[in-house]
Order: sequence, then structure tokens, then C-alpha cells
Amino acid sequence: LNWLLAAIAEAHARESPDPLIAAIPYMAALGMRGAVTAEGIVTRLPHDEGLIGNPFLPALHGGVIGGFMEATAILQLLWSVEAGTIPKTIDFSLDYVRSARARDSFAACRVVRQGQRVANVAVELWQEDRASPSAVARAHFLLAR
Amino acid sequence: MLIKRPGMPYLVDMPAEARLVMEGFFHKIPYQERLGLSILGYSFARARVHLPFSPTLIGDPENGFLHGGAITSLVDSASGLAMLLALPSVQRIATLDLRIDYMRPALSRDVVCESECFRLTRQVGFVRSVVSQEGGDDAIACGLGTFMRIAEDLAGRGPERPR
Repeated sequence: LNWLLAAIAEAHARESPDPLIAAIPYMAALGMRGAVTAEGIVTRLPHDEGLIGNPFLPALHGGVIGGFMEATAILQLLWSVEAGTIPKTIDFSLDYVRSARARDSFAACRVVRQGQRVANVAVELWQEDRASPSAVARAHFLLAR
Repeated sequence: MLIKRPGMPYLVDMPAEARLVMEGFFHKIPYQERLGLSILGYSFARARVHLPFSPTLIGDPENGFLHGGAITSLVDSASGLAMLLALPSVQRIATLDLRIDYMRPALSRDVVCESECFRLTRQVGFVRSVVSQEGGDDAIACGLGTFMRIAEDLAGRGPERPR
């Protein structure tokens, strides 16, 4: 059992993606958390002044938004595919629908298609109202099994 | 250089003190400071930005590959700066969208992004970026971003030349 499969097994045992987040330095450093819901993984990014990209509004940095959403998609793929390696991002396309303010953010994704080698994932980020996302993204990941 | 540059003063032509204000602003952005981003160089509609390696950027600990979010943050920051450098005066901008293609994994090293605003209209700017790493001649990623110009100066007129 490699480190990743061990983390996936622990995540399933605890019904939480947090053991996976703890095993991946970028995700741990961002300070994100996760929960397992009926629709899949839902992640939360607690507000942190250090994540601000526009001090005037203030609003989160666009790179934080993208990184948090990409991480959410990777967690979902690790959770459901149980691959022994981290999926590689092929491309990531992000639309900033409205500014993400200085407060907690949430993200969830939908695996639109999962093939043998490639997955297409749609991700949404919202803050107070799930129906009014701050950003939407789609990405392709290479799945090595 | 694809954008026509009319014979009017641009941000990049401003005296050194004004440019220092702009660089100061780049370093006032909390997340860019957390990442340790620095401006390696800039000219009209172009910027070169450096992201130092940090273990906190790793997304694949087994292979030491950086997480895509590290690249997204670098490309977003450099693209915004290139966009600002294409404007005739200081103006607020908002990112509409950003697309990144990953040609190869980013290794555990520093990363550099070179961005260029290649088309500017009265309301929108288009910026493309190439991301590379020291010791590698080939790009590791490409970015394409679209920015909206907000409020002031929608007519695209430049400021009076400083005297």
C-alpha cells in the first residue's frame, strides 16, 4: 500500500477527505477542509487575510480561487477513483463570475465524464449562497492507474 | 508586439517614482507576498514574474511536482500586471476568465511567468502567458486570460504627460 492509497483508505474509514488534505502539502498549507456529502466531496476554505488578492474590495486572490477549486476536483477524483497516483491536470479553465469576498468559501464538483485515462470535472465555488457561485471551472485530468 | 501603441504616455513611461508606486502595489497584495512573488522585469504590456519554490506548493509529494494552484496564482498575478502595463493610465481591472494548459509537470524549483497583453479594446484586454522553470528550455504551461477594464477611463485616453 503506497502513501496515497493509505491516505485514501484512512479518508474512507473516517468518512472525510481531511486525511488526504493533510497528506498533500499545497492543500494543507491553503488551510482547506472537506466533508463527504450525498453529492460528493464539499470543501471549505476558511477565510484568512493572507489569501487576499485585492486589498481594496477586499477579495480573494484569483490564484487562491483556482487552486482551491483544482484541489477540490483532485480530492473528488482520489476519493472516487482510488488511484495510486495524484491525477495530473491537463488543462484548467476558470470563469470568475463575481468577486469572492473576504469570508469562507466552499467548493464542490461534478465528474462530467470519467474515462479510462481522462476525467472531465466541473467545479463551482460559492460563499454565502450556493445558487450564486463566485467562480465556475472545468478541468481535464490525466488518471494514471 | 501586437498591440498598437499610440503616441501617448503610458504607465510604463512614467517617471521612476510612479513605477515604484506600481511595484509597491504589487507587493501590497497579501497572497502575492505570502508566495514571495517578485517582478523580474517589465515593459509596455509585458511582465516577467518569479515564484520561488516552497515545499508548501507541492501537490504531488511522491514526485515533487507543484500543485496547479501555484501556477494559477503566478499566471493570474503576472497577467494582471501585463494588463495594467498596457493601459494608458492607472485603472482598476477584473479578471473575467483564465485558462491554463499544463504541458509538463512543474518540478520542485522556482517558476517564472512571462505575460503579454496582446490585444486591448476599450473595455477588455487579452493576455497570454508562458510559464517556465530554470534549467528547462521548454514551457511547462501556457495561460490565456481575459480582463475587464473597470469604470475610469473607458474611452482609453491617456493622461497628460507628467511635467
